[in-house]
Amino acid sequence: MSTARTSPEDHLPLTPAVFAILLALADGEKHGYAIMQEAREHVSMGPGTLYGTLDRLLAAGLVVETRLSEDERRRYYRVTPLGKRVLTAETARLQRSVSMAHEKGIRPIEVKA
Amino acid sequence: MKLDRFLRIYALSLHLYPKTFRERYREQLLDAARQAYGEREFGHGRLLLAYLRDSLGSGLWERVSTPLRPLHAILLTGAATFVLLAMAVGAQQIVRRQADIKPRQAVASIAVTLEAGGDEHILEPREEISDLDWLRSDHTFAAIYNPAGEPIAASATLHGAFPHPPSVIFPRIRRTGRTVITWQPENRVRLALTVRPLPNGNYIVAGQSLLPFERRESALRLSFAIAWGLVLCAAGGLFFRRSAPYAPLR
Repeated sequence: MSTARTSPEDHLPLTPAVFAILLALADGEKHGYAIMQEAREHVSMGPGTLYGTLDRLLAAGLVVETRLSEDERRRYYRVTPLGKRVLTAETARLQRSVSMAHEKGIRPIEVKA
Repeated sequence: MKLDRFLRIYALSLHLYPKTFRERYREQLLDAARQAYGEREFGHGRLLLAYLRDSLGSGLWERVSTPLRPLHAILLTGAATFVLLAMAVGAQQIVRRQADIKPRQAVASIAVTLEAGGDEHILEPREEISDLDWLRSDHTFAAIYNPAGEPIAASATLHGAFPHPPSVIFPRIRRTGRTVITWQPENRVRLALTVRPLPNGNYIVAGQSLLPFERRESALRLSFAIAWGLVLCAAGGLFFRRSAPYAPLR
């Protein structure tokens, strides 16, 4: 991802890890471990994958660091307005895919990540 | 397993990450491990294995995503070149040795026949060594030479005469015990010869054209050259790729 890409569509499609991280941050700032816990509901993710992906999101301007915890061990992250637009665009893209699948008679089954 | 030990082992695995990444995220990675230890749903060993596997996968990925330093690029290319060169030489030796298998078997078979009372008339010239078809084939020829190195009988001819390697090689073979040689009687004819000295002073010789094996060697050399080119491209790609975006600390 490059900082030069400012249109949300330029970032699509998102990888499952990126989507899961942005989705985890959609309802407010979180520290790394909390992001990982929530992202794990969608994809398998270890701390290395999390921080590697977060780093690229920071560089692309989709996420920013907000603050340090009191013990200075944890850093909190928040999704930027651009990150939110990217997440919205990706959700719309996925929705279109899901609608297409429905039109073809594909119905969801119970899936556990 | 106690938390301290768990974290110590995990901290060691963080060396799999590039230094810049490690400096940037070490504390956060350790904090995540500390929390996972406290909230684990399964045993410590399983959790540690999962975290080590994550370090291995992500660490190597981050390394691949990070440009190589010039010294590392040179060392990586040098090591890969050395390994490929050693493999190429080893493979070439293996192919060359394969050319000695059939002549060795032929020599052993003739020696058994002679020991059983047969004479040199068991060999009658039926093939011509200089024929391109013979040179391309896996046929062997056999011949018997007297103690002076003069041919007595042979199963093939070279331009109508018994094949006649330089006589000087025979006493040398008896002296050194080196029974496998390469003989090039003329430009396009190269033969892998196996020689067995007999107790009566004679020699049994069997040989096979090296042409089919040299073709295999050429194919091998080409494969290794391509592999080397790919290694150079990969090292160059890792060296020239853009920097990983490790964001500065705020």
